[in-house]
Amino acid sequence: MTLVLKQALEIAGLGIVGVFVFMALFYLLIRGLDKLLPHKEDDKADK
Amino acid sequence: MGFEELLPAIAGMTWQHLVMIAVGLILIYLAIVKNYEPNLLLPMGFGAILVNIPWSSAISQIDPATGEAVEGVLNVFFNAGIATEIFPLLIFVAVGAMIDFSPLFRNPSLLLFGAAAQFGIFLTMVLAAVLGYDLREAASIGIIGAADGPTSIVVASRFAPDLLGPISVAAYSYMALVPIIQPPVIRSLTTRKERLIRMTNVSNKVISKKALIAFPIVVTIAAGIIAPSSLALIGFLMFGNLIRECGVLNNLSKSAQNELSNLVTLLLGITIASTMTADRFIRVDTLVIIALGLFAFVFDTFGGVLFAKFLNLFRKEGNKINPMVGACGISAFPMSARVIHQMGQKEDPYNYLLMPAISANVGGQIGSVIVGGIILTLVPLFA
Repeated sequence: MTLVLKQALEIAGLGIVGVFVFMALFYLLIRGLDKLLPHKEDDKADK
Repeated sequence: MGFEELLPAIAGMTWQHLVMIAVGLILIYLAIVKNYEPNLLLPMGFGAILVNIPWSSAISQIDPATGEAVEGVLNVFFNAGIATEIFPLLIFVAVGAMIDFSPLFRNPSLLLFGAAAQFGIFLTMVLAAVLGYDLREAASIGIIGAADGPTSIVVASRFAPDLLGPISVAAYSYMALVPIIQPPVIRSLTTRKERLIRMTNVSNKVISKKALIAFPIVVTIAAGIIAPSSLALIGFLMFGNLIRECGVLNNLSKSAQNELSNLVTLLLGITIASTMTADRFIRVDTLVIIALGLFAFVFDTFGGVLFAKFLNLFRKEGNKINPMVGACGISAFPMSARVIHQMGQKEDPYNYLLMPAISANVGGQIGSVIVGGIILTLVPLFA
């Protein structure tokens, strides 16, 4: 196995884990924002 | 005075120039007749003709009389707009202004498909490394699978500017070919029973405007703390989205979505063409890169569909995910969502997959930018 291939595999592993971690974080952010700032019928700023 | 002095363009014309002019004509044909990403393919096609006429003043040349370099306008655009990453980042502002994140707030768990469907990027990077490309080139080729032109351009212009032409052509061409690439891959990975799954439990609730305003700000801060080097990509995308959602910059939001997007795309397309000169484009590398780009798109789809099937192992009957929705985790928005909705309707005219497909597709838009940021962070640590 060449050095470049070994490095590419390491980046691929870290990258796949990294993107799932980011998305899990965004999931929590969305859930948190939705809970903290829920839609209210009388809120004019809301859609 | 000889023929070469009178008509230097004809005297200097080689078969490679003629091939590139034909490539330019094909891109223009695809843009006008097939309507494949015309905003970008048409300027690229015209630019390819412009730079492949010998002694074209559109690109830098050495003046044979004086031996001095004369800078061409496309090289000026390249140095000002692409080498500095200004053009792709302005496109991110425009894209941010076009994205509505409310489908993600309604079905946040579908965000994970935006991660799973980036699998092809990393697999392609590994394959490119196997084929002998160095790490920076391999990463730039892999990112074609982001199905996101500006991200591909940012990564390629930083890591492999010599490959920018073929990478951009592959990225934008395959984005336009999503309706042709994805369906056969999805059909080969799913059973008819799986394709008939209805996702009736998707939420349709109204989302708070305050939450939509807070989202781009919170994401920018969170992404900046974790990976500061990804901030240019994510920050500009979220800035565009904040302009859209804030409610007080409606004119700016519309300008970003229309005038800014159109003008920068036009400049981006014709400027990328400055890298499509015969000596840089007519190489075996170009064909390999175009083939690897297709591989990346296929395995993105593969990753998304298999991840949905994996999640279904843990979900109860009646709460399962239609695996086709997993394929929408790529960034080609809203094309991928539309393709999956149409595939669902073909199997069962009463199956409406558009809402979950859009949610996963928005997740893909975030996912592709995140992967771009991750690659920009990780590759310099290794290479």
